[in-house]
Amino acid sequence: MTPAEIEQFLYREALLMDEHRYREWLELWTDDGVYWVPCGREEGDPSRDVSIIYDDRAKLADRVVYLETGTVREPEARPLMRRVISNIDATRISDAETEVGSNFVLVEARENTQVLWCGRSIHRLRREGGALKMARKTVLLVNRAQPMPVLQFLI
Amino acid sequence: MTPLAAEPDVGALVQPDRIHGRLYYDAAIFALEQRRIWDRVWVYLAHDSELPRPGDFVRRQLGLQPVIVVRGADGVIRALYNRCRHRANLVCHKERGNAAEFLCPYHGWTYATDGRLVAPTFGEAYDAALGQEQFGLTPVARVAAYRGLIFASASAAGAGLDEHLGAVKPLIDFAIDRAPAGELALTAGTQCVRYRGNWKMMAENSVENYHGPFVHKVAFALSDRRAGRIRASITRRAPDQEDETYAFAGGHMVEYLPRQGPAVKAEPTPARRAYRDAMVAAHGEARARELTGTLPPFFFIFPNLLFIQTHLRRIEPVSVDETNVYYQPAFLKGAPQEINEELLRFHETSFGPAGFVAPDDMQIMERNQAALRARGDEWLFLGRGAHRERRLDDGRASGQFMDETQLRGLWRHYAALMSAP
Repeated sequence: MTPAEIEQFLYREALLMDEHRYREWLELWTDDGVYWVPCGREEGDPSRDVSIIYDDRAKLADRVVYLETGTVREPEARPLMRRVISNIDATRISDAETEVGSNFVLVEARENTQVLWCGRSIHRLRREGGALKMARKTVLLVNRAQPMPVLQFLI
Repeated sequence: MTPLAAEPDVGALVQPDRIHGRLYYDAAIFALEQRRIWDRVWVYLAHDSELPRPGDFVRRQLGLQPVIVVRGADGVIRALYNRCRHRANLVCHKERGNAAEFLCPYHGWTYATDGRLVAPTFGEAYDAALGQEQFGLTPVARVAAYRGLIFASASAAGAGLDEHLGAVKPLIDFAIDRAPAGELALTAGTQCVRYRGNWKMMAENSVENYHGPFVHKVAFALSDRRAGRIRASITRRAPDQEDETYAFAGGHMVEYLPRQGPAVKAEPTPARRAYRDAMVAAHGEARARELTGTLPPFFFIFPNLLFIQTHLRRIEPVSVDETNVYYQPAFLKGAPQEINEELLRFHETSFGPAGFVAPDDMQIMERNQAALRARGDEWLFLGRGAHRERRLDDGRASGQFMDETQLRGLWRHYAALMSAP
C-alpha cells in the first residue's frame, strides 16, 4: 500500500462518515471487521471491560439501520459534521495488511450546540479484490474517561 | 439590604396528577434539593466489588459534594469528604485507584485511608492546645451497605438504610441472586454520559415504558431480530394481567417488563447450561427456574440508583439543567465468562453514549428541557392510569403497564421531602 493510497482511503472514509453515507461506509469493511471505541483511561480488554462501541460486522449493519431510522433521529435532525484527518503514521503488517494511525478533529453541530470531538484512530487496512478495506478500526477518544455527550454518528 | 428570596413552595408545584415545569429549571429549587434531599437521604455511592482490597478507593459525589469512598487498611469501607482540613483542596484527584494514604498536593497534609491526619505532626508551629487528631478528613455522617451496595447519608438522623430500602429489598435480592455466587461484580468499568437536562428526568425516563414503542421502536426491532424472537404485542394484553407498575414508599419506582409472547428459544449453549447448573446448585431447582426464567423488573432506588437489565445506573446532578449518568455493567459472579461477555455486548448495544437506546432518551430529555421554556401553561400531565390506580395496604400503589403510577409516587415523595423544614 502506498502512502497516497492510504491517505485517500482515510479521506474517503471521513467524507462518508461526515455526510451520513452509512451504506457506502459499510462497504468499506471486511466481513470479519471489528469496530472498537474503548471507554476509560486504560484501553482495556473488550471481553472484560465495557466499551463505548464494540461492533462485529452484524452489529455494524444494525448500527447503520439504527442511524438511518427512528423518530428522534429523523434525517433533518442529523448533525452537520466535518472532520480533519492528520498525523498519519503507517506500519506494514504483511503484503496484504497495514496498520495506520491518524488523528482527527471533528466538529458536530447538533440541534442548538456544537460539540468538538478529537481522538486517534487505528485502522487495520487489508487489500481485498484490489480494494482497501477496514479489518479493524479502533478509535481512542480523548474524552473517553469523562462524561461525554451522546455519540449518534460514525466516529 | 436585599431581603432573602422566599423559599420555593414546592408543595404547590406538585399536584396529584400534574407537576409544574419550575421543578426542572428553577435554580432555587435545585439549591433547595441539595439541602432537603441530597444532604438528608441515603444516597447510593459505590459497590463493594469496586473496592476489593484495603486502600482501594473511588471518587464519588453525594449530591454536589465530593467524597472519597475508601476501604481502609482495617478493611472497613468509609465515605470521607474529599476536602483537605487545612485549606480545602481535593486530597484525592484520581477517579479510582489504590492508595496507602491521601496526600494533599497543596501543603502536603497527609491522611491515612481511615481519614486520620498523619502529617504534618503538630509541633511548635501550632498552638500546643490543638491536637492533630481533630484534623482528620471529615467522615460522611452515616455509611451502610446492603448486598454490596454502599449508601451514605450526610445526616446523622433519620431512617436507617433498611427502612429506606423497605419493599425494594426483595427486588435487589432477585437481581443479585441471578449471580450463582450471590454477588454482582462491577469490574467492567463505567460509561459516562452528560445530558443537558434536569436529573429527575433520568429517574422518570428510566422506569417509564410508555415512551418505549415511540422512542425505541427501531432499537426494539433490532434487538428482537438479534434474539430471534417476536416481541409480544404490548398493547394487546390479557385482561387478567397482574399490575406491572409500582410506586413504593420512599420514592422508589418499579416497572415490570411485559411478559414475552411465545419466544423462539435459542439453543442452550454449553455456557448457558453451565450457568443453569450453577444456579440450581446455588439456589435449588425451583428458585433457579424463577431466577433464570423471569426478567427482573427495572427499578429506581430514590434518589440516584437504577437497576436496568444489564447494569447499575447512577445519576449525578451537575446543575439544574445538566446531569451526569454513569452506566456500570453488573457481571454475575460465579457465571461462566461467556455469559458475562454476552451481557457486556448486549449492554453496549443498548446503553452508554453510543448504544441504540440510551442516546435517544438523552436527546428526548434535552428537548424536554428546551420545551420547558414555553410557559403558557406550565403544568406537565402525569394522569395516565390515575383512575385505575390501586393503593395497596403496605403503602405501595400499583398500576398497569405504561401507567404513570410510579411517577406520581416519585413526586409525592419528592414533595414531602422538599416541604419538610
